[in-house]
Amino acid sequence: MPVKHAYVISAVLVTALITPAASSGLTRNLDLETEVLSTSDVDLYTGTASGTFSLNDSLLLDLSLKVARSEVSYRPTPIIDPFGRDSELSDNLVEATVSLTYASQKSEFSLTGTGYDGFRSYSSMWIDEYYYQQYGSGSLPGVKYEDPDPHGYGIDLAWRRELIPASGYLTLSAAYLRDRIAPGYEIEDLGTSFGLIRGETHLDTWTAAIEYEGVINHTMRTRHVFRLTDTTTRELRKSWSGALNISLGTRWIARTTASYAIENPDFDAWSVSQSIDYELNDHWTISLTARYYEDTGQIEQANLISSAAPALTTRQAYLTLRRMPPGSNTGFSISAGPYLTRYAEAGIGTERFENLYSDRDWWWGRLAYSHTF
Amino acid sequence: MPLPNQPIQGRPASLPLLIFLILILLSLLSGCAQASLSEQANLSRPGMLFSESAVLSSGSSLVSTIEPGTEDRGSASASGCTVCR
Repeated sequence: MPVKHAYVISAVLVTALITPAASSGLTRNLDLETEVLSTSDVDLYTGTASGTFSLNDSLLLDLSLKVARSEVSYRPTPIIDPFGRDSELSDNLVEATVSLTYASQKSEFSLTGTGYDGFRSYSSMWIDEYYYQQYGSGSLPGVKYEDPDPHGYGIDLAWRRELIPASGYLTLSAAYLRDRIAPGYEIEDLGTSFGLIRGETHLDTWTAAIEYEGVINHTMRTRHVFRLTDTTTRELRKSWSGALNISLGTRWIARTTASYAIENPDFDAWSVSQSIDYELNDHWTISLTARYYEDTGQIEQANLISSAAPALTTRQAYLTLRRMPPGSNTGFSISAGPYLTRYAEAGIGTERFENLYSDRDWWWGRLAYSHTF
Repeated sequence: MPLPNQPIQGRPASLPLLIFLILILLSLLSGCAQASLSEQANLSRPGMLFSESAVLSSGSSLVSTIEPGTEDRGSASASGCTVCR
């Protein structure tokens, strides 16, 4: 079922973007991507179409349209929430990105704008359903539950410079993001009575990054990204991600990535992945990837109820088959494999989301197609 | 009635020494060499590139919505978790 939805989404995007683009004569390349993540009670799928268009010799326009659908079987925790009821939830997210890039001999300047409408994660839908079932009747004094309208926009400015001819590149970027989120609710003790209060409805995020991509020797290419992120009501997050690609001969390539993020007072997360590519022939490459992720759980400051996720560990393995003949202007890849999520035990105040933060065994898959004109 | 607040009993994330050393090593390996024309052919094989092409990409946008520490939109998104920071 999720795969069917993903193909429908892709077909709509193809019609919307490729048809006018191909006839314009300005198109440089088009990318299509469909992704599915599915388990027994949650189905997630996305379709993305993006294209690059040459406005003149030095000006490029990138357009991207993403559609995502989430289907969730909500289940309350009976002991904590005896009056809660099972519910089938679904939501569509639409996201559009427009980017303008000016390229000179050694530098590129780009300005990117993004806007979206819809829930960005299935956990947000789950948490909002809990609040709806608890406070949607409006019987409590204080604020009233409001229908969520999650949406947001962002603007990103980037400068890329070729420091070493065809080998070393430096990118500096800064972005501002504003999210209208589905708020959380709490019952507050007002002294003589209890009243419902609402949490943050908007999040403002400022982020800046420095990226360096370089060549170590004739068989190794590396990239590092250092990022600072400041979001409403949170401490500054510092993160690093690195990648190292090693050519192990004429047919083998090893690709390693790692990341680390830290945020006061006590959140940290890290991940590492390893891929091995084997070129079957000039046209086909097969790749095996294994990935591990771990964090300490979201930081919470709840007075009564917390929806913060407990510590999480994930494992992922997938096989990729890619066709990209030399000199050809088309390529595609298909990837599939299991994805396992394991949460630490929910603490007091969070156990009402025990079914949200339960261990799940997922299947993940992606289909991608690229055409260069 | 909601239960009184208790701190989340999160499992502390261990940072294995080996992984940490690999990360440091990767940082030190940041390349500043210039590739010759003959070397560029090897370094330009599709699997060796850090490409934004969907066909060559290895990241997952769906996985990043589940992992709060995985970079996506500058590590910030509308999480819905408004009682947590």
